[in-house]
Amino acid sequence: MIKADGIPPTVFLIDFGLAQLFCDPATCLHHPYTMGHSIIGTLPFTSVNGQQGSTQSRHNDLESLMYTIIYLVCGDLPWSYISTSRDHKAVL
Amino acid sequence: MPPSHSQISCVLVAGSGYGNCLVQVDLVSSTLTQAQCFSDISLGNVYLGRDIWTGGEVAVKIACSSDSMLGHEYRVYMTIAGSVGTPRLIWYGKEDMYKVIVLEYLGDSIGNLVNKEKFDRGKAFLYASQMVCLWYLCKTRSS
Repeated sequence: MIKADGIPPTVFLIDFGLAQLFCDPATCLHHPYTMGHSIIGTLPFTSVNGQQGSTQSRHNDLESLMYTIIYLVCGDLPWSYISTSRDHKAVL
Repeated sequence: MPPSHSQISCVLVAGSGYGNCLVQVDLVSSTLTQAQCFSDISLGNVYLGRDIWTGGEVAVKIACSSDSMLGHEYRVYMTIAGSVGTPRLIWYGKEDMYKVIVLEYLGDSIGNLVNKEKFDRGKAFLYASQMVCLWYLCKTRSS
């Protein structure tokens, strides 16, 4: 979200329902890499690993952030036209 | 199941902990706002509310009380609260059979702004740099 009443306008981060810790607070160990998860989030902005069902972590957020920045600059994502699952698999 | 519009035509939240917040959810504008601004949220419904004490607009997120996600979201908001780029949390609590988060009303989503007009490079860079800072903030607060 962007609050436009300030100069410059400020970007705000919202909607943390799916946010999770990337490491165990007790052991400080990173969560293990696992497969077979369902895809969550907005598909065009989800990282490739996330779309393949892997555990998501910091680098996936960075990848999604890059997609968002491309979206800001270009006004669209080159792969946002993909709608069918067959096309989706072909691109991956 | 999220509440239907008729069910929440007038939800009153008597707050505690975060000051006295009395929120009225406006049926007409909530329908409008949900369609225009808040269409891409993942969980719960977000409505435009009005703080009866201050008269200011607030965002009210409502989910069924059996849904644990809103409680989780509240804890995440508390973890990152007070930083630039995080919305001010006005109230969180349970009202009737729903969990409710009341947040400061922000404005348009980036998706809406991009659809309205294409950003020039300078504006895109301004927002991108703020997003990188927010990414870094989340990572430092979650370890």
